[in-house]
Amino acid sequence: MSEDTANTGTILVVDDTPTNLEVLFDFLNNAGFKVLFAEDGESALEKAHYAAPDLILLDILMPGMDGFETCRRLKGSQSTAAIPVIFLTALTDTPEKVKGFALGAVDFITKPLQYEEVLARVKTHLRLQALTQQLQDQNARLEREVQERTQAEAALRQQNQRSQLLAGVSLKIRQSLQINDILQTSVTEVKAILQADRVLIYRLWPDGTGSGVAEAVQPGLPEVMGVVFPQEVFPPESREQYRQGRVRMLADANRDQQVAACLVDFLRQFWVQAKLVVPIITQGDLWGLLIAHQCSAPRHWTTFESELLQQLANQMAIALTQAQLLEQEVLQRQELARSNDELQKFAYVASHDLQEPLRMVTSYLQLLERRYKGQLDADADDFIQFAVDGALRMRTLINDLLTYSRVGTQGRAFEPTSSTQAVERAIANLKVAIEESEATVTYHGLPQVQADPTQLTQLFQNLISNGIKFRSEAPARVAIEASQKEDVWLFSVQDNGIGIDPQYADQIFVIFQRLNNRIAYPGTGIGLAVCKKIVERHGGKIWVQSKPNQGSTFYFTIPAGGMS
Amino acid sequence: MVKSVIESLNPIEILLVEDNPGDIRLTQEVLKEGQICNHLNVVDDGEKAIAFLTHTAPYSHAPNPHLVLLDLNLPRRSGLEVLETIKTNETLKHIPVIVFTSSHAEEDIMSAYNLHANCYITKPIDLEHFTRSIKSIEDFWLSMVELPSE
Repeated sequence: MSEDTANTGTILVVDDTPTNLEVLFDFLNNAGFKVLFAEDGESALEKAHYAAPDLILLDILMPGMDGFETCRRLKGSQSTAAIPVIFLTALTDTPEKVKGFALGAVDFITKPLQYEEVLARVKTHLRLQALTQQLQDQNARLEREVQERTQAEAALRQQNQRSQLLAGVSLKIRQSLQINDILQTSVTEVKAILQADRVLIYRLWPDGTGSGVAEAVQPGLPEVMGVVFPQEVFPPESREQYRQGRVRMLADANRDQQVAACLVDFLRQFWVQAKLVVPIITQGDLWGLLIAHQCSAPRHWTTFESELLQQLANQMAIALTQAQLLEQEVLQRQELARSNDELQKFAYVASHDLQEPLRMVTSYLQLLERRYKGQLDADADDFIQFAVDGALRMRTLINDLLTYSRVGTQGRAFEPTSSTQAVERAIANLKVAIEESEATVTYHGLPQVQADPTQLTQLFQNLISNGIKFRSEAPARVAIEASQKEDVWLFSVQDNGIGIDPQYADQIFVIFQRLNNRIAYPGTGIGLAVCKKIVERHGGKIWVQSKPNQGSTFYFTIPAGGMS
Repeated sequence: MVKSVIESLNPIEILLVEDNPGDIRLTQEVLKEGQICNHLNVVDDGEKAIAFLTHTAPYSHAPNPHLVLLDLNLPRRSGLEVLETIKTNETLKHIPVIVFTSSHAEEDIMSAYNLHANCYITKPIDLEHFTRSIKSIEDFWLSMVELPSE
C-alpha cells in the first residue's frame, strides 16, 4: 500500500488565525486529506457534529470558547466523543498538557508548526483511530454473534426441553396398553407440563354425542367427567375442521367475540377463562379432543405449548391405535379359546349322550336275537346280526371319540414322570397282545419328563400296540429310545412291521382315518389321533418315518424343561 | 326282627326310579327272566320317587320298597337329591339304594358314595352285561344279604 493512498479521511482544523488555517489547509489538502475548518469553538462543535470528521486539530488559545472548553464539549456529546482531538498550542508547560489529556485529547502539536511533524502525528492518530474503529466494529459484531448464539441456544434448549417432555410422556403413555391407563396418564402429565388448571380428554362417540373420558383437574374446580354433551355441541362442520387438524386457542373467554353462546355457558359452568384444544386423530378419524383449560386467569398460549399439545395428541393417537389393536387381538384369542373349549365339550357331551340311545338299540337287538333266534327265517337272523354288529361298532366309535375328546378336557396336571415307568405300564396293559403275537418290546435310557402320567402311558401303549398290530410275517419287535436334542427330548418307537407309504405319513394322525382294510386290521383309526393330541397337549410334535415293508419309526418330542 | 327276604312269601318290592322307557322295559324283561319273585314299582322322576317313599299322594298306599334302583339323570329332582332324601330320613335310610346310571363321571360316583349309596353300577352297553348286572343285584341284594323286614 503506498503512502499517498493511505492519506484519506476528513480532518477538521480549528484555529482563530486565518494564516495558520490557510497554510495547514493547503498542506493537508495536498497530502490527500479532506480538510474542513472552523475559526471558533462554536462552529467547530457544529461542524464536528454534522461532518463527523476522522480527526480534529484544535487550537487552544481562541477567543470566546477556548480549545479546552471546545474539547470538553466534543467529548461530552455522543456524536463527537469518539473523534480524536489533537491540540495545537504554543504552550509547553506540563500542567496545560495534563489538562488537555485529562479532557480526552490524544496528542499535542507545538506551535510554530513543523508540517512534517503534523503529518506524521495526524497519520498516526488516524491509523489508531481506524484500528480503534475496526476493533469497535469487531466487538460489535462479536456481541451480535454472541447474542445470536444465545438466542439459538435458548431455542435449542426449548426444543430439547420439549423433546424430553415429549419423550418422557410418550414413554409413559406407550407403556400403558390399557386404553384407560393411556388416557389417565396423558391428562395427568399434560396438566403438569402446561401447569393448566384442567386437562380433559373429550371422546366423540359415533352417534355424535361426546363426553369426558379422562380428566385431571385442580382441586376445588368442577369436574367435566361424566357430563354427556349432545350432538349439537359438535356440528359436523366443526368435527370436519378438527379432523383436518385444526387447533383452537382461546386466550380470554370474556373478551373473545367469536365464542358461540352455548359455548359461553359451558365455559362459565366450568369456570374456564382460557383453553387450548387439539384433535386426537386415529387412523384418519376424529377420535376425540385433548383440551387444556385455564380457570384462574386468561392465558395466552404460546406456539411452544400448542405444538407440544399437538405432538402429545399424536403420541396418544398412536398408543390408542396400538391398544385398540391389542384389545381386538386379545378378544379374538379369547373367542378362539372359548370356541375350542366349547368344541371339546361338545364332542364330550355328544359322545356321552349318544351312548344312551345306542344302548337301547344294542340291548333290544340283542334281546330280539336272544328270544327269537331260529324262530324267524334265516334272513331275519342275518339282518339282526348286521344290526347288532353295526351298533357294536358304533359303540366302539363313540368310546374312541370320548377318549379323544377326554385328552383335552379330562387331562391332569403335568408332574415329573418317569417315561420308563410309563412304558412298563403300557407293556403291562398290552400283556395279552404281546404274548399272543410273541412280540418283543425293548427300551433303555428313557428320561424323566414333565407329563400327565396317564396320558404318557396311553401314548406309549398306542404306539406299541400299533407296532404289534401292523406286524409283518416276522414276530414283531418294538424298540423305544430317547435322546436329548437341544431343549427337547426326542423319543423314537421303532417297529419291523408292514410300514406306511410316505405319502400317507400325515393322514394317519387324522381321527378315524384308516389306511388298511377292516378285517385284517380292525380298529377305528383313533389311536394315532389320540397320540397326536397327547403330544401336542404336552407342547411337542409327532411324526413318522417309514417305507412299505421296512417297518416304521414314530418320533415325538417332549420339552425338556416342561412346557412353558 | 331280621330275616332274609327270600324266605318271605310276599314278593320283593323293588322301586325303580328311571325316566327312560327303554331302560324300564329292559329291567322288567331281565327281572322277568330271573328266579326271584319280585314286584317292580316304577316312577319316572325324582319328585314322584320321594312321594312314593314317603307315602305322599297319589302314593299313599304304596308299599315300602326293599330295594331302590336309582338313575341319576332324572327330571325335576335329580337322583342325588332322591338319594340324599332317603339317606337322611330315619325311616328310609336302611333301604339299600343301588345307583344304576349311564354316567361314568368320577364326580357322580364320588357324590353318590358320599351320600351313602349302597353301590354304584354303570349301565352296561350290551344286553349280556346288562343281564349280568341285574342278576348280580338279584343274587347279592335279594338273596345273599339279610335286610330288615317290615
